Amino acid sequence: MKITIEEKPELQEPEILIKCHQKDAKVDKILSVLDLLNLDIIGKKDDVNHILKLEDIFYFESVDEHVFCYTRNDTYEVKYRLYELEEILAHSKFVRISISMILNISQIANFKSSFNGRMEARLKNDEVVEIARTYVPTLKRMLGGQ
Amino acid sequence: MKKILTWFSYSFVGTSLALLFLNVWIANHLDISFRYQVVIVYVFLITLFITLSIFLFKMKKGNEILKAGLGLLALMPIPLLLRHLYGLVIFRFSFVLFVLFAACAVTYTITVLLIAKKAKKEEKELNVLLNQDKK
Repeated sequence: MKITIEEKPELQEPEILIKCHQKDAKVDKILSVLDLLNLDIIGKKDDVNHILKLEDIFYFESVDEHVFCYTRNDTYEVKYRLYELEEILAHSKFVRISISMILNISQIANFKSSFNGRMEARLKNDEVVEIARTYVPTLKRMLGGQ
Repeated sequence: MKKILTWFSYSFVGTSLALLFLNVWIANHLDISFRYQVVIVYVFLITLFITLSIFLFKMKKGNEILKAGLGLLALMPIPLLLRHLYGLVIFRFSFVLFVLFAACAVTYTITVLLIAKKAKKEEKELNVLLNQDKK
């Protein structure tokens, strides 16, 4: 794939032009990644809506049919369902790690396993989240493994 | 709850098959047969202890070594149940009971060590991949 950047001072905002033989899966993937740049996650806290940057979000968790989004120090309620977020964030750094959680892998500090086979991820804010065994292969693939 | 039911189902199938083969062997070699209603009750009880053992071992909180020890302890009534079921048919000599205790302990220990080793390997792999991803 060839990437060309042209600087044009007269342009008000960046413009992206994709040139291809035919619109295929690869092009769709590029489009969905670009869509992520425009994606605003709106989180509600104390009845006030906040616009959250994806890179600031540590993980999404579903609790009693409500979905919450966790940043370094705060928790916000979001309007999406977990499966919707999974679809929206399919080409991002977010990955499903359990039936009720989607984690931002760029916020993981390290992994730790327990004697009984449990896998945990320690996040950059020192919080520890559990990774269900079913989702370990997906996580490995997301990190570039087999 | 779903997990516990899954463990119970797998254990129930495994225990049923093991006792089925054992009963067939006893019937062929010693010409003694047991009532299936009685055997099913024992299968159910053995399965309960196996499920309890897995539950204790997989608990989220608590000391890992202690949990592994409790899991082993939960398996210990199984040889006693088998002795109660088969009596002198299998347990004519007292050492058979001890052999069965030892077999339970060895099988459990090997399983625990294999699980721990696999988890450690996975942890190492994930940490390597994570470090590569960060670069």
